Amino acid sequence: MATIANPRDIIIAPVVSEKSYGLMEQNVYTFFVSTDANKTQIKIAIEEIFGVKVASVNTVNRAGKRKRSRTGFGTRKATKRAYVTLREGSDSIDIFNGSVA
Amino acid sequence: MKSSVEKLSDTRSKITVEVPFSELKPEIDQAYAALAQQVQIPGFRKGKAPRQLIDARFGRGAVLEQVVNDMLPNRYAQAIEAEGIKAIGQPNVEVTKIEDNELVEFVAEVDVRPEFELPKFEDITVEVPAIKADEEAIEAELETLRARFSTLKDHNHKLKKGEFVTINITASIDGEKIEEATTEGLSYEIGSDDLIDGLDKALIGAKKDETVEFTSELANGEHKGKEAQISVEITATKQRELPELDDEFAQLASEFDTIEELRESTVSDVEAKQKNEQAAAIRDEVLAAALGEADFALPQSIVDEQAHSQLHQLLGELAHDDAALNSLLEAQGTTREEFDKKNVEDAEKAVRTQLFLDTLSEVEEPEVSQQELTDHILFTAQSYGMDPNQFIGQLQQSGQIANLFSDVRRGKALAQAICRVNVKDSEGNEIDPKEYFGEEEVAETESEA
Repeated sequence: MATIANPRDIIIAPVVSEKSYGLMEQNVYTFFVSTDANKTQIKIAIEEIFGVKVASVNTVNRAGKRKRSRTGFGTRKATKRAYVTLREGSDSIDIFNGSVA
Repeated sequence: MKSSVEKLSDTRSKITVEVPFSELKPEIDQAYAALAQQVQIPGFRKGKAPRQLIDARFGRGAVLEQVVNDMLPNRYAQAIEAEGIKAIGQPNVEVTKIEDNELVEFVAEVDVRPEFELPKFEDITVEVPAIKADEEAIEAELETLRARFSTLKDHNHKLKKGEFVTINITASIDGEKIEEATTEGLSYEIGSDDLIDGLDKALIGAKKDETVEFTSELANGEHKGKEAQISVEITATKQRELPELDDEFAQLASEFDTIEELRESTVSDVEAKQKNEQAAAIRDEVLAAALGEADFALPQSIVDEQAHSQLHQLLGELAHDDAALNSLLEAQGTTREEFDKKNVEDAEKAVRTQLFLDTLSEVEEPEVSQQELTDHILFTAQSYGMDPNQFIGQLQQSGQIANLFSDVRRGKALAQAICRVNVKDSEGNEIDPKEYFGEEEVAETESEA
């Protein structure tokens, strides 16, 4: 990991799902993030990209599933998700207007 | 909702309607819900996709289109109602402006029923043929009944036209017998002239067991067009014998025991028939007279539509073969141009009648009971030869019940109006139209409408 990371290398994409949309109402935004990013890096990256204030970051690692194919086994990509809670009073994130990563 | 009407002509109006978005909320919600139900977006269960995603994926335009489609018929009907327009036919609707979150504007052009003065039915006098339940008509009726029960009898005099013979025919050319033109035991009515040229001529005057010979051209087969010697052997001669008009005949031909009873029933049959004819005549005359007094413009598009559907009905019978129609018309001695012209005239008349009756029923405001509607449906089903239940089912499916209902209403309005008309028969007697078009007979007259 480079010392000066591009924040868009850390935040990969927003998660678009029923759950993530449900969480938005509670001011929690969900993103796919780089697997080796830590919470502090994510917090800084989000604040930099969207210009918002982050209250807390929760992360979860999702190991890729092992899939069988004709030639043997392969592994799907492992992902890391970050649940970013914004501070009260902070601007909301509009994931469809700003260009993300 | 704001609307304004511009009168293009007597029979056409243009309605401009503006609908603000705030009024469209239910439709918009519905449109999103419907669209969400149709699409599958990864990460969402069916029907759960959020609005932003639908907008992002399909664009706001798709949603708006749906909204506009949904609201048009409804808003159009409201506008028509609010403006008091008597629309007929389908409107020609065009959406002229869509300003997102502001308003939708559409323009509808529609044919309207022209306004005109109804003629005063009290002032109309019509003349119809008088009822003639005289001896002649009754005799004619009995005569046809006799003809139906006639028998064939052998006889032995010279043959005349209209008599029946059984014959054996042999045809030969130059002494050679032709198999295909040879028959035995053929029953033939003299004068029908549908077998061989000259056969009738040869047979008339001949007697039973005689053989007549003549030459004629063969009409078809291998030897078509060649002169052939034809020899006809008459094996039996018969003539039609009408039964005597006596009690025996009455028992045979009817449910009555005596000829007097049969005659009486024939009299009342003839009278009823003529009364019906008279009722129809009154109706036609009054309608024609009233239409003659009410002058109004016809919406061209409706006339065209009517003419078109008439043409198609006819074409449908000919399996949509234009050439077949042309040749059929030729056979009837008309040309396609004449037919088209007449078709349009008929259509105009039909539309005029309908518009007139519509206006009339609005003025008369007859009440149509459930019973009358049911009667009418049953009658119509019968005239189509359909099972009433099936017919009703079909009506419901195609939404035609309202049409039938207005049919009944029109017929009833006309009946009411006719009751005020002065009717005379050709002998100058006053006829009370109520006798025919009073309450009881309403159902019958409607069915003719």
